[in-house]
Amino acid sequence: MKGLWILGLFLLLAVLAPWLTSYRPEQVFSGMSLLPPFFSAQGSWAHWLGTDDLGRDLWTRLIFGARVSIGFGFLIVFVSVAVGSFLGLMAGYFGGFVDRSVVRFVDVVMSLPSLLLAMVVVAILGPGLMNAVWAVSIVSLPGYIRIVRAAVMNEKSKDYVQATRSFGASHGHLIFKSIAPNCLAPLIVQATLGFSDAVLNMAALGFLGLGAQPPTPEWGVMLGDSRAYMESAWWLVTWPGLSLLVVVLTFNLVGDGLRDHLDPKLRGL
Amino acid sequence: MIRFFLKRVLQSIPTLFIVSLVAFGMIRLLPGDPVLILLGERGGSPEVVRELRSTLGLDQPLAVQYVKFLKEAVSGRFGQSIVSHRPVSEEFWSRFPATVELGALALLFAIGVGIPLGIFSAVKRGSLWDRLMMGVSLFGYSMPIFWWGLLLILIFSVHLGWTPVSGRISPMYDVNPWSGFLLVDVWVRGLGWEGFVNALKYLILPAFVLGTVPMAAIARMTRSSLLEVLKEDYVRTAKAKGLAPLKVVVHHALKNALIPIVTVVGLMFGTVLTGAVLTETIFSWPGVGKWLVTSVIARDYPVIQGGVLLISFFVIAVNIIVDVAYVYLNPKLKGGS
Repeated sequence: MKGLWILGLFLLLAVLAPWLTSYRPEQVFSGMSLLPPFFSAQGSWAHWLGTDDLGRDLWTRLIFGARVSIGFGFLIVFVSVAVGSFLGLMAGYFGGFVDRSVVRFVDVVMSLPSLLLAMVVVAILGPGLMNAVWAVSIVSLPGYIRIVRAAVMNEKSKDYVQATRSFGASHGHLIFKSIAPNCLAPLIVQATLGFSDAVLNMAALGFLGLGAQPPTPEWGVMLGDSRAYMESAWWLVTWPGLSLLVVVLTFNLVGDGLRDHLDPKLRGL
Repeated sequence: MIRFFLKRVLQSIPTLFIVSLVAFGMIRLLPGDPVLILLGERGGSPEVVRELRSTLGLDQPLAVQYVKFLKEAVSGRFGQSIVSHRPVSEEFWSRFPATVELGALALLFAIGVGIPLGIFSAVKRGSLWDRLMMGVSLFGYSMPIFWWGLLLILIFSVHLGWTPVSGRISPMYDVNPWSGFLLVDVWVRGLGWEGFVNALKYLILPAFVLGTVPMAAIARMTRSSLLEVLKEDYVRTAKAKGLAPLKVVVHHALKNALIPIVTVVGLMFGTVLTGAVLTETIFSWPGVGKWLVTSVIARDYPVIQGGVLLISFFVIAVNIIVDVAYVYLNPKLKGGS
């Protein structure tokens, strides 16, 4: 599938980060600040992507940043898929009061733009990496809830579910063994596309100073820090943003591909 | 139609009510004491803590606090900012037009460019142009806009010097707000073309940045929705009758392809509001988004509380308008949902 190999490359960079550089991400090289990349006249191969305002190696910070962005992106998707699909299963299966409460919760969360709500949650919990993770997880919930709920309502009336029920299967068996596996396809697509949103929202919070805090090598934080040196050091702005774009683009590409694959009706559109 | 509209308005009241409970409750129920966070790491003596708690009204019973909050909301003041000591609503309304002006231009660009691009790609499906456009829109769709904004400032403002870096209009013009929309106010205040062009120069780059993601999303949706419709029998009939291809698309296919497009445009309002937070911060645009970021960093709780309520009010209002537009486009929906 298109994009998978780029994704693999980034995962490899993130996992192997400590072995791909001889520096630490927080290591400061005094007298080496704002060194341009290797292809400029003042650049050097020792810091081939350049250094930042404090003299930290950008390549090192970038690949350790991949760990933060991709790792916490996965964590957010995991948490919100687990909680969201549980709520969606319950709402779709039981209906009635459970359904009304869950739908109301979705309405409330969706009545605020995601980043704004995440900002508010962070404002209360205090800025920080983990708090940003919780905030972004909460705002990602409605997407998963809605998709799973719709899929469950569609499946629940089908013959195979009725048949299993007539054998005296318990609610738990019906929900998790019969219905849930058949709701997986749309959930997987949503999770892939949701990963891009999670990474972008985390980076945006970091950029605004509400997510990961310096000196954590997080791409959003790096971009936020770079603003003061924008005019003199273009490479500070360029690398973290480019990495962010490529990762998000790749996930969107893979998500599109998955959707075409799992929903053949849309193929080629 | 009117009944449907009224029904949707009535349905949204409980949601707004719960939003008010959440906005109110989050600050008080989530872990972390706002007063201690407000005072920062150094903290304060117990007297200072107690005094601040009573200024914020946080020492009263929850029910009393909530009733007070609701009263403030209904009276239209939405509480008082800790930082500026002005009513939250006053702060909001003085900045709202700037955000609307920016958002409207961004959406105008997104719709005006996105829909034609999508139509063109659908009609020329599979061509080099189609693939190129879809590649570009995938890029646009995935763009971290805070980086996009910085990049464009770097190119157009710093290197080329074409557009200003930040603000809404040159400080040499002192525009006393009339409507709050600078593109209108320059005429009212007699600055004429010169002022208009100046204000537009400040507006164009942030609006382009803010419109990028919606433009890409609208182009993608227009293309796929139109391709779906172009497969229908009645389109083949129209073609068979010998109608010009452009006429078939514009007169026959487009209206039926519009429903999913309207959905995306509706969803894009939220994207624009989220994007406005980032765009306004990057371009120092004095709108609601930048104000909220500043308030969150300053932990101005009444502003956060009131701002959340005001913004969700607008989001819900926009959703209702989108729903009504659906029913208008697709009368089949009138009875249901």
